[in-house]
Amino acid sequence: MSQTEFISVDSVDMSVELAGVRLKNPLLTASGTCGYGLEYAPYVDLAQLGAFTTKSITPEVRKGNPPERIVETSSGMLNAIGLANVGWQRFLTEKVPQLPQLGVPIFVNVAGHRLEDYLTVCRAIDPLPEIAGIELNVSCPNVADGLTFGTNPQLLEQLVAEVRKELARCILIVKLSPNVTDICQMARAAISGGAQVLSMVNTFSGMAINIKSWRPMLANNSGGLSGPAIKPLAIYQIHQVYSKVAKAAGVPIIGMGGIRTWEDAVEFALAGATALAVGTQLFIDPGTPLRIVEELRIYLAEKGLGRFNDLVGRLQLHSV
Amino acid sequence: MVFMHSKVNHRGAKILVGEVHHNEPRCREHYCLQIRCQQFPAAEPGQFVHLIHQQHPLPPTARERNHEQPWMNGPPSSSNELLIRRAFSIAGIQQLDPESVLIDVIYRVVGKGTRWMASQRPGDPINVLGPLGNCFTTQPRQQSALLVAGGVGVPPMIWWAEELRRRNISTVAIIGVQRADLLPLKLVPATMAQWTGYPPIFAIEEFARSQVPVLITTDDGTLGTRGWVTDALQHYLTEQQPAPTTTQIYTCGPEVMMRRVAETGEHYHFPVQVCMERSMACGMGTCQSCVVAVQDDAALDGWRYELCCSDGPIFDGRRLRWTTDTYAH
Repeated sequence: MSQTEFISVDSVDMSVELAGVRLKNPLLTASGTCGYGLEYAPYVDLAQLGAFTTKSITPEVRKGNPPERIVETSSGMLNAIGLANVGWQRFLTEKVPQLPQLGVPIFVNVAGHRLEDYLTVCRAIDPLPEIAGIELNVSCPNVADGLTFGTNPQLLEQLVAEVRKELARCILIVKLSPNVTDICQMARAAISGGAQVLSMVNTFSGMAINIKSWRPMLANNSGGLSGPAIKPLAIYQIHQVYSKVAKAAGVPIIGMGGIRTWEDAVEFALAGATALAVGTQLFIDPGTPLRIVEELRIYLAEKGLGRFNDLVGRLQLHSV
Repeated sequence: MVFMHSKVNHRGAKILVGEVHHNEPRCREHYCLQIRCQQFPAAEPGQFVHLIHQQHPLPPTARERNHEQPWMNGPPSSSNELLIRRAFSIAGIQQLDPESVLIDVIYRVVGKGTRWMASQRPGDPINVLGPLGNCFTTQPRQQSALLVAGGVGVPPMIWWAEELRRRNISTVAIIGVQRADLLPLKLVPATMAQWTGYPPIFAIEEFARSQVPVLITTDDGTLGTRGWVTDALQHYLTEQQPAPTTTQIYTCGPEVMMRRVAETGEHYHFPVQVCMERSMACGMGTCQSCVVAVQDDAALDGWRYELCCSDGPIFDGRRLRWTTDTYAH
C-alpha cells in the first residue's frame, strides 16, 4: 500500500508553543480535573501530556463546599467543589516537590477573592523552577463574589497587570469566564493587562433541581456546568475571541469545554485553539488526552498537514 | 478496641473492559449484575467498582498503532449515553479461572445510570474502574461481628460476611428494607433452627452460605419485624449482650440509619465501621466531589473533609462528623 504522497503519521509535528513554553503536543489537563499532579499516575503515563495544569491554589486552606458537590445533567456535569485545596504553603511543601516526576511543563492555576490573594500566591510560585506558568482563575463561579474579576473588564485588566508585574519567569495565562455578555471585551481586557495566553472556557453557571424535595441538587445551590453539553458554547466563544481579538494580538488560546474525542479536538483547533485541555472526561478516563494526540496525528496526516499548528484557526465560515 | 484503619487504596485499581455475564432482577427494584473481568486486581470486601459503558471501537488505524496502551480500554463516547461513571459496592467476587473473575454488583434502579445498567445483556462490554477504596477490617482479638444494613447498603455485607466466615468470626446480620418486595436477597424457605429468641431470624441464601443468620425489619411489617433496623440493633445488643471488646459493628445504608447505628454502637462502646456513600465523578481521588466530614483535632475548627473514594468508603464511626439529622422517634 503506497502512501508516499501522504505525510507519514509519525512525522507529523504535534508541538505547539505557548508564550515561549514549548509543548511536545497540544493536549493539556484542565484545572480542577486532574488534582495536584500525581493522582492519575497509576492509570496513565502523564509524561506523554503536552502540559499539566493543577487545580486552583488559593492563599488559604479551603475545605470547599459541603456535599452534594456534583450532579450529572444532560450530557454535562454540574459541580460546586468550592475551590477545595491545601493552600499555597502546603502546595509548595507537599505538592511541588512531586511535580518534576510528571516530566511536562506545569501550569499552576491560582484563585483568590482579592487582588492581594492572587499576588501572594503568584509571588510564591513564580520563582519555582518546577513551574512554567500561572493560570489565573478569575471565573470560578462557586465561591462568593468569584465572578467579580471575571466579569468586569476594568477589574480584570487591573488584576492581570498587577500579577504580570510580579512575574519574572512564569508565563501568564488568564482563564476567562464564559458567563459574560461579550467575551471579546474580557479577552481584550486580559490582553491589555498583559495576558500572554488565554484559556477558555471555564464552566457555565447552572442549576439543577430535585423535583421531589424542591431543592437544588447541589448543596451550593448553583454550580458550574462542564462536559459535552457546553462544547458548542465554548467553540463559539473561542471562535469569537480568536477571530476578533487573539489572532491579531498574537495571543494563543488554550481551548476547553467538553472535549472527549479527537473530533472534538479538531473542532476546537479549527475555531482557533492552539492547545486543548481535557477536563471532565479525565474523570472517566485519564488516558483521554493521550489517545487524542495519537488520533489527531493520524487525522493530520490523512489531511496532508505536517504540523498541528497548520490546523489552528483554519475554520472557513460560510458567507452570510 | 483499636480500629485498624487499613489503606488499601486506589493504587491497585485498573481501568478494564469487562463483559456482562448475568444481569437479572432480584426484587421489584433491584438487579444483580455479574461482570466477567480479566486481570482484575486483588480486592477486599468494602471496596467498590466505578462503572460506565464501553466506548465504540476506535478507528483501526489508531487501534493497530496503540493496542498495547492501557488507555485504549478507553472512555465512553456518544452524547446520549452516561457522562460519568457510577460507583457500586462489590457484593462478591468469584474466581472463574486463573485469568478472570466474576464481580457481583447488586443495584437499585433509581435513575439514568442504573436504568442503563438494567438494560445490559449478557455479552455486552462494560468499562470497569476498580477495585477502589479501602476495606472492612477485623482486629486480632475479634470474635464476633454485627452487620447492620439498610436497603442498597446490603450488597457489601454479603461479601464481607463470606470473608468473616473465613476468618472464623461469628456473625449476625440485621437487615432493614422498606417493604418485603424491596429485599434484594433470596429467602431460603427453611429457616435456620439455632435461634430461639425474638425477633425471628431468617435464612437468606446470600448469607446462609456464610452461615450468617439474618434479622429482618421492614418499615411496614411485610417481612420480619416491623420497624427500623436500628431498633432491632438496640434490641439485639441489650438481649444478646455481645462483648464490646471482641465485637465490631459494620454498617451500610441510608445515612440517617448509619448515624443511628454509629451512635448506638458508641453508646454501648462498640467500634463501628461505616460504609459511606457519596456522589462521585472520578473515584480516583481527583475531583474532590465525594467529601465526608471527619473529626480532626489538629484543625482549628476540629474537622476536615476526607474523600469517600480514596480515604473511604469505610470510616471509623467515631471519626465521622454527621451532617444528616437522625430521624425522630
